[in-house]
Amino acid sequence: MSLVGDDKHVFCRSVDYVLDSVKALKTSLQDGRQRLDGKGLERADLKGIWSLGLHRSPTVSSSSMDVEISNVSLRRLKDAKFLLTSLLVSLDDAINEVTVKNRRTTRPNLILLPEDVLIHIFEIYIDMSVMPDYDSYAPLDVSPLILSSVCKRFREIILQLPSAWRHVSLNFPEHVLLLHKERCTNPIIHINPARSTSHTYEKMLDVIHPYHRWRELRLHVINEDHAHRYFEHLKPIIQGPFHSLECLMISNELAESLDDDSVEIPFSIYLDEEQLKFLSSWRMPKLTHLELRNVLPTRALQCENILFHSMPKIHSLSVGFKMHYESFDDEDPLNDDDFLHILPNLKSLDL
Amino acid sequence: MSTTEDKTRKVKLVTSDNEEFEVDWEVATRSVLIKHMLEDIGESEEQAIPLPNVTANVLKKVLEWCEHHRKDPEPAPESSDDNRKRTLEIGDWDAKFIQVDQEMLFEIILAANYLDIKALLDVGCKTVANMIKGKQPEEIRKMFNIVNDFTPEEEAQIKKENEWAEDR
Repeated sequence: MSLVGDDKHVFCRSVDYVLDSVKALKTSLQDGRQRLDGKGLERADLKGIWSLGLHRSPTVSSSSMDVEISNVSLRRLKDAKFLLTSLLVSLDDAINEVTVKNRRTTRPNLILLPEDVLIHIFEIYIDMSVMPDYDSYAPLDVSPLILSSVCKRFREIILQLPSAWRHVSLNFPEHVLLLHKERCTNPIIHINPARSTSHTYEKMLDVIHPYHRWRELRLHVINEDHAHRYFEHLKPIIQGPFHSLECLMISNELAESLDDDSVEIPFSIYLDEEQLKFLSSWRMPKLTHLELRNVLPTRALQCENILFHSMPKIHSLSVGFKMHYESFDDEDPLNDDDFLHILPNLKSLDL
Repeated sequence: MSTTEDKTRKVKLVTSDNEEFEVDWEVATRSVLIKHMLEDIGESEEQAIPLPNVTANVLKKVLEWCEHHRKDPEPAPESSDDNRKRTLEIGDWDAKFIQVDQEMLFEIILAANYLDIKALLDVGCKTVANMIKGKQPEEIRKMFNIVNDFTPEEEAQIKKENEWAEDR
């Protein structure tokens, strides 16, 4: 017999027969006639539900049974068994499926971690994106946009997590910059040089105002000209103080340029007079971290915390050079005697 | 601050599957939760600490980590500088320790979170972050058996947000 066999009436009769038998079992259970032991139903008692005629009375002799009826009963029982076997196989399949699903929902899994743990993982992941590498910033490999595209739970968490959107690079397309701006009001701005030194992304600065909400500014330039382009663009738009700026990093990646003999890029570890004057005009009342790499100011930066004269709020200061600068030792602005006076809150110093 | 007496003291821990572990005070108190519980019960050495959210096989693994890091300085309280200072690297021993199957990895993370062992939680979370790093959404789903349960409308919004990937 096939479940979708030629004779659907035969199939339906088998289903009816099984249903009638199950109903008989139900009635028997309800009436208390069916005995339940500790492990389930008694097999011997169950036998009776399939053919009452066969078990009706021990006094009825088999010879008195009508042979035809007996054959029909036997065929009906075999059809029922076939039907139940098929159902049993499908039940096993369903059990396996539900078991796998159940394991997914009850056993430890990334999606089932508590929200605070997932947030911790996501923040670590997002920090992995901070790899300033010219215009191959690689936001496609590590991005909140990736996490927000995995499943509903990830998306809900990421959209409610401003820190996931805090890293903003000017080489992002405009609509992505706007997404970050919308989702994080205190961003960390990364300005990286493009592979072509003649190209900059300074116009994108207009997209990520207001500047007074920037939490960090990490400006990587290749040379004075490159810095000049950004400073020129910032001049007319930075009027008020950087109220939120806690960290300023200015880096001149001259060493990478020098290593490549085929590229002749003018370099300097100085910012020019005009740039210094502009930089000195920035007011950064919350600045606690200052990092200068291959950048040497030739005069004090007037950043409320006046660089190298008095920086009471600075916690960490890093000044680094990749090439030897001979006169630096002679004109070391960080005289040992003045150190504690200049940097009373310094916890980290890297020269 | 631990005393010399503390360092020789033993602590009994009982897991959710009723297995008892006796460990050094210094090892057990890598867990802030256990440390606080011990402070609450005072000097009673006999009293076992119940850990209803941790099974024996997971606690065994967690204690292995605590044993190795028993001399580590206590972690500094969290500050606003955490993000800037956070290191993304995992030490060699920790990296080897955390080479376990996914189920155990998440069990360790859950246990570290429950027991309040920040450094171990960091190791677990960094490991997961590293597993996700560089993968596209579909690869992440496949790796962690995550079902894509977005509605067609959400899918359309996501596609729009990710259009920039094709612009580059």
